[in-house]
Amino acid sequence: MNKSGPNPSNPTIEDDGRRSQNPPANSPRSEAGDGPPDEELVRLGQQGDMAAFDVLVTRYRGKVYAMIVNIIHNQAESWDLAQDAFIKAWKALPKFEARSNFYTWLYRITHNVTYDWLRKKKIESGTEFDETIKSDQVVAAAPTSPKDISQPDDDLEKSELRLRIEAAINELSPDHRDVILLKEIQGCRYQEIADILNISIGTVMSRLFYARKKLQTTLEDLQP
Amino acid sequence: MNPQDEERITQWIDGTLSDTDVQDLLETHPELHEAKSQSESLGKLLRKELDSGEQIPYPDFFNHQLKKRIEEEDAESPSAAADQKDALAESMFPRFMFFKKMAPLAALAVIGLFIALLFFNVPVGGSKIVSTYTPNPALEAKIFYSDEAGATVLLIEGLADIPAQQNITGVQAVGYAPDADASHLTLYSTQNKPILALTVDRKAQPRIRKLSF
Repeated sequence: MNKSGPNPSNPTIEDDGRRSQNPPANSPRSEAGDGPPDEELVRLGQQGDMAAFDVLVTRYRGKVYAMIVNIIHNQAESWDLAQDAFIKAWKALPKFEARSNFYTWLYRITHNVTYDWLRKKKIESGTEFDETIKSDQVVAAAPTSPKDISQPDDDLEKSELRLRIEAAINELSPDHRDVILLKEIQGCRYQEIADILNISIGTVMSRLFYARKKLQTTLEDLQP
Repeated sequence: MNPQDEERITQWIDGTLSDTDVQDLLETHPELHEAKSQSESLGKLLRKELDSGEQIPYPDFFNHQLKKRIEEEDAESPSAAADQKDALAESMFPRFMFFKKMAPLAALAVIGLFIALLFFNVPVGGSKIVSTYTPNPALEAKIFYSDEAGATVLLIEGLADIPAQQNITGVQAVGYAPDADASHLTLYSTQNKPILALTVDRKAQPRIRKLSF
């Protein structure tokens, strides 16, 4: 994966309204690594430069995929939906006005693609040959993942723990699930979450408050 | 607790407000210290167990496939801008353009070969698959002819075990027929019932559809 570092020429807005020259360590942008800044790649992409867009894809494909897989828990479908999200982003790129960060905009597209798919799947369920294996049917790791060198017992324990956490997150309402995943897993700031979900910062904080409370109760026995 | 307090507590848990900023709340709700500690542990647990996005399966193929799909969609709705993008892409990635043009043909060829091997018992010496490709290098694909089964066997090593509760059934196809424009094949059972359709989806990927068993 290409890496890009903080871009001093593009200060980010902190949640409390102050301006910072560098994003926090766990922000999506800071993990993107070295290379041309997003703004430059977006500008080139808007002119039809596929190679520039390809760098953006490489930079954010893992984040986009993770965002989807943590919601739908199906690797193959997540892979396809990540493709759909990037295709939509490519098509809409000429209209992107850089009012927000590229990744915030991309996450918003990804969020919409994922929930559109979930809605569609609900309507169409049972009409097509089901090639998927649901996560609760998986014993260790994913069905199509190659075997690795870890011990089977480790895999089993990890898988059970992960499944517990996934189940707890699934018990949250979609609104609460979105904010907890964006904050805790994707490392987004309140303002970024607000932009992605098109809600106010106050709503983001309130939803986080209740999502954490609910998760703490559900996963109480896992806490030290 | 009012909404403003909830927001302040959230900010305090996330470290954007200090203890002093929420002193009034901490005095009336001393249990908040434990809540903060639990939230921090919860966050660590989630980050440790859930995928944060460092890797996507088959990353190179992801970019390759994406590029191919963008080019295909551009081709379906041509415009001056799309043509410009295609021209740019071709100059930079001539091999992708080749794959774009050849993909549907290649998919049909693979399906055709599969059918030929499966249903016409082509002797192994008469038709040979010279190479295989697995996007993940940890997987290994082997192809051999089984005299016992009277069939060519494709063996993929390295996949995780299929869960015991997964129901796997087989089908026996004895005939096939292409549709009018040869875009898909329908396979028939001994009772001459259509059982499977081999087709290519809108992403030019081979698909197997179950019709009836």
